Amino acid sequence: MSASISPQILPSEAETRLEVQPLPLDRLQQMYRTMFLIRRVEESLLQAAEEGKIGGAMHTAIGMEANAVGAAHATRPDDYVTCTYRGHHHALARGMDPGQAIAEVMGRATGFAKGKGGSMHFVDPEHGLMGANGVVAAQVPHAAGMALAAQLRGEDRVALTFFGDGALYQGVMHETFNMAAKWKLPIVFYLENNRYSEMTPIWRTSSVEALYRFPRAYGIESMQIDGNDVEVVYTAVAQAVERARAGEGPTFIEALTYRLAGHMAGDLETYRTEEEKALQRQHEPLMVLRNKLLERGARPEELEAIQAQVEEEVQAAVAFAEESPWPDIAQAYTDVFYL
Amino acid sequence: MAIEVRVPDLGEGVEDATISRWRVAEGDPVQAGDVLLELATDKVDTEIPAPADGTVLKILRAEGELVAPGEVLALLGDPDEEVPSPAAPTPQEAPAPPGQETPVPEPTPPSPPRAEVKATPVARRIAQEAGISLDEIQGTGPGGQITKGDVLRHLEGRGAQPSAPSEPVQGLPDEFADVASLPVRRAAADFNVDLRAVAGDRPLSSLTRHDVLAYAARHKGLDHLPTAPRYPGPQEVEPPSARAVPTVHRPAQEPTSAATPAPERLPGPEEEDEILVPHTRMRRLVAENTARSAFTAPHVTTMWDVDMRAVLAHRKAHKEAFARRGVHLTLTAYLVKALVAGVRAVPAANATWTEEGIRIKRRVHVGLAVALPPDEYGLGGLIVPVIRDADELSLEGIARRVNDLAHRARTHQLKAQELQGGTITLTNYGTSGSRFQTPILVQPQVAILGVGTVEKRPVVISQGHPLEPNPGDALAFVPMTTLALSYDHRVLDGATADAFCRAVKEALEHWEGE
Amino acid sequence: MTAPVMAQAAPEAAVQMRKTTYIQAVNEALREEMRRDESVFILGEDVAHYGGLFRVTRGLLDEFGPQRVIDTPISEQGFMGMALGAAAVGMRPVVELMYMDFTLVAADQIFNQIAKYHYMTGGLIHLPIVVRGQQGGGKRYGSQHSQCVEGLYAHFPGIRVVVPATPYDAKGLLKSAIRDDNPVVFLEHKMLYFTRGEAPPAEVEYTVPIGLADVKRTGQDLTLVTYGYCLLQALEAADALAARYGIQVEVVDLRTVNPMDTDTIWESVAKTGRLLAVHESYANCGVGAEVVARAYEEAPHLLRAPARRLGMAPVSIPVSKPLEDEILPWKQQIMAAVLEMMRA
Repeated sequence: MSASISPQILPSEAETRLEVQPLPLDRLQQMYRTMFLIRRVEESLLQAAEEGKIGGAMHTAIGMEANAVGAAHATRPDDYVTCTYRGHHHALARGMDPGQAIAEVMGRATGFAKGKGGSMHFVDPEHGLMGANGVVAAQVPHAAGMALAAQLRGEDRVALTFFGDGALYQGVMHETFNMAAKWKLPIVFYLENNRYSEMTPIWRTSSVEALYRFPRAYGIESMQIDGNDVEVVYTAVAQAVERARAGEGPTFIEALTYRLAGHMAGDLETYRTEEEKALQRQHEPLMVLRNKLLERGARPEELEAIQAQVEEEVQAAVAFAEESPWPDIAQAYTDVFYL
Repeated sequence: MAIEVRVPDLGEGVEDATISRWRVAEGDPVQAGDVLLELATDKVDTEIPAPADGTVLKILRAEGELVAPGEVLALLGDPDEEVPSPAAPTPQEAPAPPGQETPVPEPTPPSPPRAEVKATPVARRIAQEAGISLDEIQGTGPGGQITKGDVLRHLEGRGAQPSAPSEPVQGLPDEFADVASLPVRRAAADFNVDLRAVAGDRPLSSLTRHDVLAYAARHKGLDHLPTAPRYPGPQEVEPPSARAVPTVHRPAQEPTSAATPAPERLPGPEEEDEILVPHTRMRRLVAENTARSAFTAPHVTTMWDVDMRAVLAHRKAHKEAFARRGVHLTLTAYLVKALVAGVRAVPAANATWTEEGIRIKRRVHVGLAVALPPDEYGLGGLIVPVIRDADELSLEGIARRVNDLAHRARTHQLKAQELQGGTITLTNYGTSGSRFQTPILVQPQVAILGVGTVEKRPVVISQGHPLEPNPGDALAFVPMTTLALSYDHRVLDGATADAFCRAVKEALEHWEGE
Repeated sequence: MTAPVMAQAAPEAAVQMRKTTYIQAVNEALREEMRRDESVFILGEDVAHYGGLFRVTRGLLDEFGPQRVIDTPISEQGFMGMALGAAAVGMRPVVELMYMDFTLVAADQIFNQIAKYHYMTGGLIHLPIVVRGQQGGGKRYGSQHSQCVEGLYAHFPGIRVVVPATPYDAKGLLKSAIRDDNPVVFLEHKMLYFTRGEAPPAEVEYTVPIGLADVKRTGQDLTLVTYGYCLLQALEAADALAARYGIQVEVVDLRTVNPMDTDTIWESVAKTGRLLAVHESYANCGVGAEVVARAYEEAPHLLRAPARRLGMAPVSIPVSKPLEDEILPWKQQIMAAVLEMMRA
C-alpha cells in the first residue's frame, strides 16, 4: 500500500492500476500544447512576481499540469469546475485566454474579473470554471451545490472539484462528502496530492497514510492514480464523470502529483531538499508526456514547433497584460451588488 | 529696585517674537551682557542680554510664548530683594500707518502692533477687518492670547459678521479632486453605480450622496430611492439656540425640563494643527492671474547668458552723476532699456493673441514685477506697476520711474491705473539671488523677461575658431547674468524668441550711449 | 442584467385587509414564491418533514416535494456552501438557519464566500440567496441561541440585511428578498412569530422594497430609529411616554439595515432635532452606532442635541429570567433613554 503522504513516493507508484486506453496522437499533442502553455504562463508569472509586477500571494502549479489538462479533456464545457487558489492551470486547461489571465493577476482592467479577483480567484463561467477559492476547501461544497442544482433540474451536468491534500482536514470537506454521498450528487472529488499543505509536508500533520481511504467511510468510490500522466488522469476522470452522469453518485480521485515550484512566489522552500525535487523531476508531467509522444511516433521537430508557437503566444499575452490599463478608481465600488 | 528686562524693538514691521529658549533660571546670578534668552521672529533670531549685573528674580514669560516689543520678560535685582509685581508693559511707540492715497490691489495694511494685547495674527486680522478692538476680547489661548475663535465668538455675541471667514473654503486641492466622500462611495457600492458615469466630466469629489441615489433611481429602476434630500440643508436650518424647545409635561415627581443648551464650541482645526490665513485681495489676484495664465498660454522659456561687463562699467562711470540728480541707477533700468531693444527687433513680443489675429502694440509699456515683503508665514505679495512708453524714455527717465514705482509699490501708494496697460514685463528675481526661474506671463501679454543674479563666472575668451582649440584661448572671470524669456508659443516660436533675446543681449553687452 | 431587484408593488388601496400572524406571513411568502419560480428551493435543518423548529416551513414539503424542501444534516458550513454553488448556476436557494446564532458556524461561507463572490469574480457570477431564520432573546434560550446578528451581517459588504417587524412587512420583504439577485439575510425574531398584524389576503400580490424605511408612529419631539422586535417595544414605549410625559416620539422602522434608508431618518430628524437608535443586538460597534455616525456624517445640522444609540450591553445572554429581562433593551430602557435625552 502506498503511503501517499510521503514526498518520496513518485506519482507513478500510485495504488490504483487503471486500464488506460491510449489516446490518439493528435489529442495527446493538443494536451502537450496546453500543458506547455500552462508551464510557460506560470514561469512568466513567477518572473513577473520577482520583478515586482505582481502583489500579494500567487501560487503556481508547475509540475501539476497533467491533472488540469487530463480532467479538462474528460469533461464537457458545460460541466462545472471549482478549484483552489492554485488554479491557473485549471483555467488555462479549460480555455481561458492567457492574456486575460495574466492581466488579472497583474490587476489590470482587462483581466477576466477587471483586476478585482487576482491570482487566487480565477473564474471563467463560459468554460465552466465557476471559481477558484482563497480559503482551503471552501470551493468543495460549492461544487456540491452545483451538482445539486443539476440534479434538481434533471440535467446531466457534472461538477468537478479540485482540492489539495491540506483540504482533507477541513470540516466542510467531510460535511460535503456526507451530503454528496447521501444525495448521490453528480460530483467528482479530485485531490491533487502534491504532498505539501502550504509549507508543511502532509506527513507531519496527517493521521491517515493513504488519503484516498478517507471518503470510503462515507461510501464514496475512490482511487489513487498517477496525476502526472495525462492519459491516466483522463481515464480516471472520464470514468468518474460517467458514473456521475449515470446517477451513481460521487467518485473520489486521489491523484499523486508534485509541486515543483514553491507554495507561492517568494517561498523559501526550506522544508524540502534538492534531492527530493530531483527525484520527483524524473516523473514530471511534461517529460512523461513528451517521452510518450516520442515513443508513439511524434517527431521531435513537431514538439519543438508546438513549443515555439506557445512561447510566442505567452510572450504576446504578457505584453498584452503589461500594456493593459489599470482599472478606473470608480470600479472599486461596482460589483458589490448585482443590479 | 528690580530691573525689568523687556523685549527690544525688533525692527520695522516685526510685531511679535517667540521665546525659543531661556538660558538662565530664576535665582541665577548674571552679569551685564550675559545672554538671558533667545527670541525668534519671522525675520531674525536674536539673543537678549542682561541690561545690568544682578540675580534673575523672576521669569515672567515662558518658552514658546508670543511676546511683543516692550513687554517685560524678567526681573533682575539683588538676591534677597522682594519681587515687585511687574509694571504694566509699556507699549512701544507705534509707527504711523503709511498714507493711503488710492485703492490698489493690496489689502488694508496691518494695523499698528498692539503690544499690550496678545493675539494671533489671524485674530488680529479678523478683528481689524471687522472693525473691533482687541481690548474688548477675552483671550483663551496660551497666556491669555486672543485666538481666532475668541474673535469669532465675540463677533457672534455682537451679531456682527467677520468678512474674511464668511467666505467658504473653495473645495480641496486638485490632488484630491477624485476623492469621493464616504457617503458617496457607500451609495455607489450599495447600488452598483459607476461613479464616473454619475460624475461625467466633474471630479468625483464634487458628487453628493443624492447624485448617486438619483442615478441609481434612474438607471437601475430603483424608484423608491430619493433623488434629492427631503430635509433642509445646512443653510436652511436655524441655529440651535433659536429653535423652540419642545414642551414636556411631567408629573410632579419628574425633574423639570431644561432648555437645550447650545452645543459647546469646539476649537476649529486652525486653532489646533493648522492656521487658516484668509485670502488677501492681492493673494487672490495673484492666484487667479497666474493660474489663468498658466492654463491659457502655452509657456516656453528660453535662457540666454549675458556678459554684463559693459553695463557694469557704464553704471560705475555714471552712478554718481545720476545720484547727484537724485536718481539711484539700478541694473533694472538697463534691463528695461535692453528689453525695449528686444521689442524693436521683434515687435511680436510686444503683442496680444486674439482670435481675430495677433495684435502688435505700437506703444511699449513695460511692467515691472515688484515683490512685497512677506508676512510671518512667508506669504509675500507681487505687484506689477507699469512704465508707460518705455521706448521713449532715456536711461535716466527709466531709472527715475523704476525708483519711484518700486518705492511706492512697497509702501502701498500706487494708483490703480499705474498697474494697468502693460504690454511686456520684466521680472528681476536676481535681486533675491536666483540664477533663473521660468516666469509666468502676465495676461494678455506674450513675453516676460526674467533676469537672474549677476555673478562672476568662468568664461572662455577665444580669439580664433569658436569650437576648435586655439593657442590664445583663456579663462576669464566675467560678471554674467542669465536671462530667461518666457513666451506664449501661440505667438512666438523658439527662433523668434531667441531673436528677441539676441537683441537684448547685444544691447547689454555692447552698451553705448548716455 | 435581470429585472430590478427591489421590486415594488404597493397593495391596492381597496384591498380588504385581514389579520394574520408573522409566522403565517413568512410561510405564505415562501409558498407563493416557490409557486411563482421553480428555481426557488429551501434547505436547512428540520425544514421538510418537521416543518421547521418554529413551524415556519410547515406544509411546504407536501406541496413542493423533497427535491425543493430539503432536510440537511447539521452541517451549516456545508449546506451554506452548497447554496452558493446552486445559486451560482441559477438556482434561488432559501437557506434556513435554525438559530441565527449558527451564522457563526457557517461564517466562512457567508462572509468570505457568499458576500464577496460577485465582487471577486468581477461581476461574472451573482448569487440570489436568502439566508433566513429567527434570532433574539426573551425566551430564555441563553448565550448561544438568543443573539441578534444583524450588525454582524451589516458589517460586511455584499449582503442585504432585512429585519421586518410586522406580518405585512415580513411577507412583502421576503418576497423581495427571494426575487433579489443578491444575497439577502432575512432576520425574524422568536418573539415576533405569534404577533398579529394586518396584511392583504393570501392571493393579493404585493412586495415591500428592500432599502425603504417606514414611519410607524409620528411625533415631533424625538426620532426613534429601530427595527425588528424592538419596533414593538419602541411603539409601546412611545405610547407610554406620550401618556405619562407628553413626549411625542416619532418611530422610524428601518426595516432594512443594509442598505440603510437614511433619508427617511433625516426627514424625521429635521422635524424633531433629536435622534435615538435602538436595537437588541450589541451596542458596541453596532447598527445604532452606524445610524448615529451617519447622522453626523450626512446631516449634523439637523441635530439639536447629541444623537444616541441604545443596544444590548456587552454581556453574553443569561438564561435566568430577571437577568435576561435586565439586559434586553426593551420598553423600560427605551423610555429611560428617551427621558434622558429630553431632559438634556
